Amino acid sequence: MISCCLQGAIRQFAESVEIRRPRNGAYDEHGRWIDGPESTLQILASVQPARPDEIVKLVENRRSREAIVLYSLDSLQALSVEKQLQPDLVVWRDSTWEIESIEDWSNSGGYWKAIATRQGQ
Amino acid sequence: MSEIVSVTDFPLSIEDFENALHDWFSTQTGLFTVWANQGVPQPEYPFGLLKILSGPIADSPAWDHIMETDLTRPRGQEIEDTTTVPAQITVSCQALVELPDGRNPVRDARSYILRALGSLSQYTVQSALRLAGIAIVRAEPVLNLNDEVEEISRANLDVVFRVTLLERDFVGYIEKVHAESTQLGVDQDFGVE
Repeated sequence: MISCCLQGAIRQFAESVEIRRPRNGAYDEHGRWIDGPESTLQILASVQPARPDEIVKLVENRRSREAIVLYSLDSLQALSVEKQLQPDLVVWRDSTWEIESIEDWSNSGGYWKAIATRQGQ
Repeated sequence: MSEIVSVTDFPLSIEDFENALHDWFSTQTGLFTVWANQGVPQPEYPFGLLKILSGPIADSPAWDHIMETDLTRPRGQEIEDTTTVPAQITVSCQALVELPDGRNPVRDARSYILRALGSLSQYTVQSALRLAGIAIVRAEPVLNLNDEVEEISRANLDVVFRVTLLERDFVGYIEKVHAESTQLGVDQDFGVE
């Protein structure tokens, strides 16, 4: 099974990564955003530098940022208009990275792939 | 549309200005309205978007300072320094509408913006804004910014407002002076302990 191989590979190369996950925020009556409470969790993820073809998938103003790709057996959270959610923040190698996009391969591969860019650049 | 109104009797903070503007635009258009550039999830369509484009531009040199002392306030905050200054602020007011409403002339973004523009001529709206300390200087032409690529109907109205901005600063008295002189042989603090 390919999915077993992928999961095994992710486990083999995974490291512990801290995730800061904002819960649902909301706009107040004056149109200003109020963040929801943030929770912190640890997940296992294989973290790799993003390839050029992956960086091209980012919105234009984020392409000059340093980017990483995470492969994880745990689900990750991207920005959601429908759910009014802010994206996960990944703390990795003393830097904070913002999840930009997620591919949900949980059905056929049992994993999630995410691209994140470094904050503060 | 042009009006000269004195708003010096109703000084307000930038936050009060934004709140009053938000009330006006969301009420007149009926749109859920937010402030731009917050770096957060956008609301679902249709929605209104407000942004301070320029200003406050102070109409200097008409700055006004009032200093009031109240010794019952906590130490270091006994003096209240109030500054008021007339200023102009330009606000971009936008509506964003998704398809299919975006292609309906009575429900597209421009229709919402025209409601906001029309309301600026209404006496009730002018009075409410004036009581909040805001005068309408002028409205620029409505811009139709429909985006055919993203299939979003968008329209913009820039409005110039005049306000008297208010800034408060609480300060205290000089608590301690340090004097140092090798000639006089002084190296000492003077002041309240």
